[in-house]
Amino acid sequence: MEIEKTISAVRILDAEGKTVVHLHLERGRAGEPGAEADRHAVPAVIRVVPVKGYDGALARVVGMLTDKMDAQRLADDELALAMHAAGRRLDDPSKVDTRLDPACPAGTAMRTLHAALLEIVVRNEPGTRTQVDTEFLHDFRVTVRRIRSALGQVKGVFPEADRARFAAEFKWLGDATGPARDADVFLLKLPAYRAQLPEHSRNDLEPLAGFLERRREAAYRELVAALDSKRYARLVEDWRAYLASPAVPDETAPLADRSIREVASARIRSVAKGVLKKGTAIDDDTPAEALHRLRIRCKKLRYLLDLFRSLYDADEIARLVRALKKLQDNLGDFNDCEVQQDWLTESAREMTAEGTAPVETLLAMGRLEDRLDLGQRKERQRFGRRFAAFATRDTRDRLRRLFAPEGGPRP
Amino acid sequence: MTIFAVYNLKGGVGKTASAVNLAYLSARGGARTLLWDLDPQGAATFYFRVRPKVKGGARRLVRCPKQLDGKIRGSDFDGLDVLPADFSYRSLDIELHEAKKPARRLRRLLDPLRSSYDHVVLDCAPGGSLVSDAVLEAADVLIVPTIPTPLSLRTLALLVKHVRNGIDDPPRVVSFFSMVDRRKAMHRDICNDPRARAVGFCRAVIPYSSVVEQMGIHRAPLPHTMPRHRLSVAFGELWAEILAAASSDEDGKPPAPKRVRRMLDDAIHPERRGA
Repeated sequence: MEIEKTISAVRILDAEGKTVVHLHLERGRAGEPGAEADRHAVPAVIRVVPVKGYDGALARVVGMLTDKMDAQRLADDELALAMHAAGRRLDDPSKVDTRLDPACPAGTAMRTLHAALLEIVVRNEPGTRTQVDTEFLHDFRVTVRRIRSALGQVKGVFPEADRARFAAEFKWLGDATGPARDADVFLLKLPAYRAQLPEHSRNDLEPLAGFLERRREAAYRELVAALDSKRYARLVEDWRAYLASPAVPDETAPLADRSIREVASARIRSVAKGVLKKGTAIDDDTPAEALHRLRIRCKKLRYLLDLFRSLYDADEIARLVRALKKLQDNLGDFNDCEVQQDWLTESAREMTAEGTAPVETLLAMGRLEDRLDLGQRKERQRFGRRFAAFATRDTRDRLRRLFAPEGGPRP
Repeated sequence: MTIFAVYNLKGGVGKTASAVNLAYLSARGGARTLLWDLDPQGAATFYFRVRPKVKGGARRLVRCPKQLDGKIRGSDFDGLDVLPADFSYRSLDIELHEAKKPARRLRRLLDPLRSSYDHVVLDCAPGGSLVSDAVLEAADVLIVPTIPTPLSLRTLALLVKHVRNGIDDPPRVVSFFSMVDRRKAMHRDICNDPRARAVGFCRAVIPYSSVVEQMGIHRAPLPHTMPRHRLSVAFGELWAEILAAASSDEDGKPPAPKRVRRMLDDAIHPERRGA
């Protein structure tokens, strides 16, 4: 079989004459070698190659091709590969763009939100499988976490049996992504690790790199198996169908008819109260466990704020999220230092059992753990300040104002 | 990642044209290159046909380092990206001043780009300011286009003295004669000064030519539109010398200001020059 391709390059220009999108028009003819006259035309392909920084133009060109020119868009992973080649993402998957009407009944609103989240998960699936870029798995995983958070935080909107069932399935899915994501993150840290070691010791990490690569490959094999499984296919299909079906009154879903704003505000109020109360109780002597628990609480609050953003004043929410983010960064860095130390220790143990860890490598890893420990202590010291910067009068007032129960703020 | 800054206190010496052409040559040589236009005039941005608009202006640029990548645009040339300037860069000084550690901040803005680019070329606004000091701290190599006149040499001496004494981590200083008019005796004499090499001047010299002004019509680097023009050839030689100096193991200390001043003295007193 022989395929002859003619590729024409077209540049789309803006008003300045700048190339903003490249199009590669591929026309081909296929047939047996030697039989030139007997060729069949291969369907023409337009490869859209973006230019970094010109996302708007890209979206318009793709829209024009699919709407005005009736071009059929190939499987998203083709596009994703092209995007990746130019170093860009199609959209920011961390934004849930759905605008909610505050008066909408919670049952309907949550269905809409969940449907949007599910689509993000599905959209990131091809990139996750093909490992084009670690960002796909990251976004896949973050969105699954958001779904789990929405299911777990907002109870009483779906019948409890249904909620619990899907929560359990998404937990399975979330857990399936864990090892692969951990492996990616650990590998991404290697250049920084190398830079932290003295010059003569940098190559000592090579055995660790090899170990991590092997572990990553194994983790991804498991992950792809999970994505290929019937269980995953059924989860996506069933959840989609469930969200598309109308809400049926149920005594375990008393909040389904309340306005989404009321339900969201009540939940955010409750979680924010917990963050402020528990955070205030932490002083220099409080054990690390309390910070880890606070980190989880902050995450829950953040997910809720992100999810229900459209119900509140954009500027106020933005300020709140900015303040919360700084606190989360501190708690996150603190936790991250500990997690990395655990990884290094665990890896050292496994490599020793395998027999793949020269002494120099173990010593280098020990050096890294030391630095991480130091970093962790620094973050711990910063906590007091960071929490105070979050739990200001301003923030408390803002929380009270934004998430007041219907019928006026509580005294 | 090596950071090159094209800089001179004086304006109108060919900074932008040089930055644009050298960045292009850098990319053509296979290095992933970013040109950062720091001049609110946005001339380099204009040459690459990029709109001089940066979301959030100078303020967001300085305060949101993670958003830097989103502001970068691919140029029309392989391996060359552009970080555009806009008019709000007039207040880059103030923004740097209000942020902590202004001198280090520019360098830190560039740190996340280490894995994406081999070379960064900074096109700096003329004049001395907080931004220029930040550039001097951030740069590994300082490229100084210098017109061969006494006033320019005087300014070079000032710059070199400041780099030596006022900058914690001084860059390597590489100067070159720019906008040279061989018909002028003064230009010839200064270019031929035997001290020039010791003071850091490259052998390659960029002659004055109206084709540089025409860059504004073609809006593309000169080595792209007119690869065989003597100016393009000169820039090619210049870039090769700059690269060699950048990767040289030799001591990268800036030249001694008094050597530059001796060149200046000779230029001011041509009658002293021997037979």
